[in-house]
Amino acid sequence: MNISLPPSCAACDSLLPQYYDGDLEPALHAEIVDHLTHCSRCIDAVADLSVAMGALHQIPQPKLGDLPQQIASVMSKLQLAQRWSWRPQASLAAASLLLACSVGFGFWMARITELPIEEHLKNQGLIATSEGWLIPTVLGERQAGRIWLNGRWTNRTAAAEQLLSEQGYSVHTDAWLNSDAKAKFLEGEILTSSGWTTVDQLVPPLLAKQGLSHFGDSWIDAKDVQGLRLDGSLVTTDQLVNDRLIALGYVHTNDGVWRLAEEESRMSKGEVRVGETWTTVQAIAQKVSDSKALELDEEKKRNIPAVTLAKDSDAPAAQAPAAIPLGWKGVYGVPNVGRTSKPLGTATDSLSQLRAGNGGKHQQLNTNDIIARKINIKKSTDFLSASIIRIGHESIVGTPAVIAGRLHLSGSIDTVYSMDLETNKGSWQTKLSDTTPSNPVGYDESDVAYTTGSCTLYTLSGKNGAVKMNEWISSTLHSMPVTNGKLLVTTMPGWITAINGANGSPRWATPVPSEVRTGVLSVGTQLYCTTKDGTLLACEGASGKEIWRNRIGGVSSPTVRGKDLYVRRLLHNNGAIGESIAVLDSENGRIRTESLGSPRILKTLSVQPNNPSSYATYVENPEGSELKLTDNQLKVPDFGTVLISEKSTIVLSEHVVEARSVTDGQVMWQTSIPISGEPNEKISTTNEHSDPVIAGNLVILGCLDGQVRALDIATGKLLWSLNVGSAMGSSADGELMRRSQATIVSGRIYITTMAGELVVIDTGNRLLNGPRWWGDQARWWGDQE
Amino acid sequence: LVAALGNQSPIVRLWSPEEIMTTTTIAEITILSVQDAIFHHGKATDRASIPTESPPESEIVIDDQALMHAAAQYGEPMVFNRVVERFGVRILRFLECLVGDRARARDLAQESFLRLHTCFKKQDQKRDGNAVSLLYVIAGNLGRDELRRRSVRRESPLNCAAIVPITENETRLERDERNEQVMLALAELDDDTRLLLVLREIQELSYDEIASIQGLAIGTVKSRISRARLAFRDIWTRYQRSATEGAHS
Repeated sequence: MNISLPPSCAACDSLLPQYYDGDLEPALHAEIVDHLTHCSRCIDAVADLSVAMGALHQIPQPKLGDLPQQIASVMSKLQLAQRWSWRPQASLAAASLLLACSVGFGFWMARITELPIEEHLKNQGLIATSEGWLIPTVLGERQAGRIWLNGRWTNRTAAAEQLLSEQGYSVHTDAWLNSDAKAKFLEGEILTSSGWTTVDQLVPPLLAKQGLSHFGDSWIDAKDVQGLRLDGSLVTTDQLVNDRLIALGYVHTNDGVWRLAEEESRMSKGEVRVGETWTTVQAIAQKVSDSKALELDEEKKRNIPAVTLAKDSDAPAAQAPAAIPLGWKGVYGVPNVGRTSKPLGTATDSLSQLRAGNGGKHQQLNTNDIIARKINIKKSTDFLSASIIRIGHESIVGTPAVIAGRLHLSGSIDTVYSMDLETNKGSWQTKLSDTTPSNPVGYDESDVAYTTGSCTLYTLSGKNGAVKMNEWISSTLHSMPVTNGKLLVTTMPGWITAINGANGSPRWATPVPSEVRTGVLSVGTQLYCTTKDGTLLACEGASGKEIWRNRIGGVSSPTVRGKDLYVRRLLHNNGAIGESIAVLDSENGRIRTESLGSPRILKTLSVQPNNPSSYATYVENPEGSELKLTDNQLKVPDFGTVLISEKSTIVLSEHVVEARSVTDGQVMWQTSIPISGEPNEKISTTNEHSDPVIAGNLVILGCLDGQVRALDIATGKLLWSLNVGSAMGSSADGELMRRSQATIVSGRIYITTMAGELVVIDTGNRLLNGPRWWGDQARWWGDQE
Repeated sequence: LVAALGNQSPIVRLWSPEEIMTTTTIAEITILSVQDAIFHHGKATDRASIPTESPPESEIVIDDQALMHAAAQYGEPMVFNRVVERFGVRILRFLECLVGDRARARDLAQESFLRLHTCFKKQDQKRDGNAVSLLYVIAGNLGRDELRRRSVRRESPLNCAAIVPITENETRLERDERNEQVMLALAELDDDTRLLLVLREIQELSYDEIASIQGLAIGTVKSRISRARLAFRDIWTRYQRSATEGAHS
């Protein structure tokens, strides 16, 4: 085609498709346009072309239908699309599956139609699995646990690491971290359940949780915080102070006090320091005594010039004023003013007469003041009779004492009484100048001694109640007196003091670690006591010189038989507080044997191990349990003494009477005392019942339920009991000086009740005797007579 | 995956270690990653929003070539299924126009895709070529094979005997009949001419693409297509006139 020539219709026609496309050069396009303006045939031709192309364009879109599904179905059947077997450069590309593809599609399809697909695949070497047909190579790799990733087989760990690294994670020490976390780690932070933190912030609370405290540059156990870091090691302030004190010449004494060696030396000799000078207690006491005697003499002259000390039989009853409100007034009552006493005159009232409520020939007895009533006899073979006697308006308390044929009784207020057991007659009453008399104590053959709540010591004539001696000893006396020859021995906190019972002058004083429990025991020429810090101590009765001491946690006053000293001891046993009976050598204080028996928790004793605020704390140490002394621990009540019979030791612990063999300490029997009725809140001692006492083959005690019980000493079986209508036991305010116990003399049992009454039980056995009331409570001297 | 899908498909999701640990297999992760790349290209998504089925078309922002690329790179059936969905209608129309037989065209389309899949698998270098062109080559070859086999068997599915005049009132029937006539008219062209005309006018491919498919110079393609247009114009004009005459008579 020569485009420079004017286009003919034929040439124009050949160019029409390009014209239709707009694909002609501009000049040629213009020529065609020009031609078309003149040539109707060619215009028709253009129109026809347009129509024809339009017809083509109007061919409708076919519907896709299920074509994709059909294809997918075929593909899955043929396993053409294993996701992991795809990349052709892998070795599996040579798998037999691809053979079909290389042979030719038509041929391959024909093969498929001729054979069942499974047969075909098997023929191709494929293996049927739960995931479809796999070529052997793939199956092997999969069974080896590897997966197809990015064109190669790789194990899952490597795959995971690859994916992580693609996603911005990287390994830091042993963890995959994203960039933020890594930055924090590099800054020293760590990730905890509560977010990002640092070790410095995290560690202190954890250490504190373990009970450690920050101390200087280290973390130490909280209990060591009191210590100091010295030259790289931890020392306690105690250690430092102790070392310093020792360097300064102090010694740590047995009573837990630091003293200068010289001071300790003097104190061990019984000296005390007053201001800057050393002196002795005896010297001080003598001074006090002298000045007090002077005052008293003057007081006597001033206030009571008309009354003199009574002599036996020289106090006529007719002279007794009628207005004495206490005691056997009108008949026996005489004014007891100051330190005077009056005899009971012609009083010859017998207990049998009292018991009968019959004054006998003593008609003048005021029955309002002396009330006796019969009580039922439960088992008449065991005792003949029993009476309950009330004297005056005052309660009879504590333990009666039988001294030289007389029964001595303490009143609850300020009067003491005496009865003649030979004649069963009331003898005398004496109103003391001080209140709260202690249990009566025998002194010098036939006299009786008392101490009082305000710590005045009295000796009275046993015959007529005349006050032979009275002496104010100290502001605090804490035990009944005992006698040792002509001496009366009593205690003050931290001291044992001996007083001349004839004139009240001090003889000696011996320091002891703490208060003395119940009272001092006087045996022969020696004295024994237990102090409230658990120390057993022995000293000479004449001089007070200490013989030995041993701090073993004793809680009862000691009992001595021969060379054996028996004491009850608290023990700490795996958190429980139990007691034992320790037997010490009375000559050196060493524990000879110890009977644990059957330790039980003492419920009424508020003792908690390792609790400093408790009454007592036992600290395990190499020597055994030790009682640590604090003020509160002084409140550990006095335990009853150990009773000793020929074959057994008897103690009352809470509500159980327990007998143990004296030979091997094994428990022989235990008898529980039944508790009935309301517990008496006033009774705070461990022995809520009266202390038991041994007499013959009986163990006798008064009980809180109002029963007097007698147990067989061999078996612990109840032989008899008698309801006396009122509980017996040690009254709270008189605990120290008025422990309650039955007194048994010549077959008669004397017990005071909480109602303030005297109970007399006549067993009819004149050979039945309990321990004599001499010094402390029950001391067994063997059967007498 | 970024490398495989080219710069247009960066992975925008990051996987926390917890997600990795709770996913059952690494293979699953891989698949999900591919799906993410294809269906959520350029768009940050979180795990919960990943569709388990085909997403709406509007979300598919990947172009034909990228889709082919992904399908060629990974043998994942689900991905290839997207190829079928994307190109199925075009290939069906192409083959219908080429062989003039709707049912047969459907068979051939299926074969075309399967063969394309095989090619993806078989030849690594194809991933760098134009897979769309390859699809047309495959379909065109299958169509020509079909036509050749038909001529050997002396079959003539393009029966021109029944040309029924269209009526104005039956629009649907009219359109179907006109389609029949267009098909008949196309069938009168020789196979190569028809192929070119269909690729250009119906598939609306560029001359470059057609040249690539046919393996011809672009000038040759242009001139052959020009002749094909004129040929079809003449045939179609004849059809129109005979129809008009038939109506008049």
